[in-house]
Amino acid sequence: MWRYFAGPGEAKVTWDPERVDPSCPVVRTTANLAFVTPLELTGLLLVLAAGAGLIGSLIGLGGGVLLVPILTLGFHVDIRLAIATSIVAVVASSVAAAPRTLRTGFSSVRLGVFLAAATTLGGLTGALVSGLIDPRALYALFGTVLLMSGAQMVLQRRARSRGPATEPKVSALSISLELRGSYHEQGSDEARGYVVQRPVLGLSLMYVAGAVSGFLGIGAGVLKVPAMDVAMRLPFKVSAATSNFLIGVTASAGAIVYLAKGGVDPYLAGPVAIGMLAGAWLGGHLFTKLAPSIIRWTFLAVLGVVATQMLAKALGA
Amino acid sequence: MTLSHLVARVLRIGLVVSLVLIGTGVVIEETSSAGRARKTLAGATFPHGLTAVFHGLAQGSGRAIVDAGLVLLVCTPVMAVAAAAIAWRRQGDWKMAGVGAAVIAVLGLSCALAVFGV
Repeated sequence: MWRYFAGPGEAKVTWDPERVDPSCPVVRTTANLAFVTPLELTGLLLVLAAGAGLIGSLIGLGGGVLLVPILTLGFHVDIRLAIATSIVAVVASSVAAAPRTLRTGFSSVRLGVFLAAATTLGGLTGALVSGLIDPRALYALFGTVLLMSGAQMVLQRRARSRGPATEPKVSALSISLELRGSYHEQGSDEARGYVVQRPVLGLSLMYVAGAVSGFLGIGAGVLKVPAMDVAMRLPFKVSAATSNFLIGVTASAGAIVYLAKGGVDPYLAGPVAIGMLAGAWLGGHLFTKLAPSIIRWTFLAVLGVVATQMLAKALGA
Repeated sequence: MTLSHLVARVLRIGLVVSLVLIGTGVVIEETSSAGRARKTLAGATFPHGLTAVFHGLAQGSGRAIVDAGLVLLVCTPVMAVAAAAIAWRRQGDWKMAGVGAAVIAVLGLSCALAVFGV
């Protein structure tokens, strides 16, 4: 296994093939990182995690979807340890980006907590039934749903830009819980208001997203953003920012469990969390300045990659 | 102060304190002889539970300081929801206060079921 040791000179990371224990969570680096010091490794993790945090916070996915491949493919971190690290880092990303988007009105506490009721319950359900469903079937379903969501987002966007603005149908639940808000785009004095439409459908989709999240151990932000954008007819930046806040709340339960069980390696999670915090903080500031179309197309690109990954897993590739 | 600003403030305080703790722990770990000489992560036991973290903190362990920061960080969103629920209750918005309390209850139940292996 890769071992950290203090040699006669500086500390090195090296490989000891005699000591491999496949049952243990092992942090291993790739061959080209064989002679980095632990300090350099920490710096590398910081930079890469910052990139994942920046992109994840911009598009409302938290960044776990980018971080897990970085850790497993780039650093050969055991998948269990990578997921545990990722879930802590996703909370970090949410906590760093949310204050800015909350203050500017893009993220709504009321909507986030309302939807968190469904995602947390879904997460609990997903964890409880995780032994009953074949994960490959779920990956296939998840990948297909993602592709359909992406297509729906593109089609709906075109329809909205072509067709006349329709008066939103506001449900009694939205009125009762005051599920509405307003935000200011950068450089505009005009407040843009929105009202949550079809909240029951939104809650149902969030429950499913939470269940998928609990079952597969992923953030499922790729499902939450389209659910808000397409089903609840929210502005895309409101969807992405609220998803980012929501993911932090939902992921916190999983992160607490991993920490309580000792499944999080502080040497790995510490630098990764700091990197994600820095990237997400920058992402939170950029978010308010970038045009919605840039954020939307970035999201769709990441969604396409994730959907392909999920379908590949379903096919056993 | 609006609700959004209150929640943003709770998140920011949690973020800053946990960042300071994690950063301090990482620096101590990277600069201490024990940190430089750490052997392998395979089979290593990371601090389990708050008792182990407090014990490590009392010894000035960099690892325990990082862990304390991580615990605070992952609890921050829950504290933000709790702050929102309390604010809604004070405003007499019982529906949203109830929703907030339900979210915290489900999160607590999920943690309890996972930790106790139910």
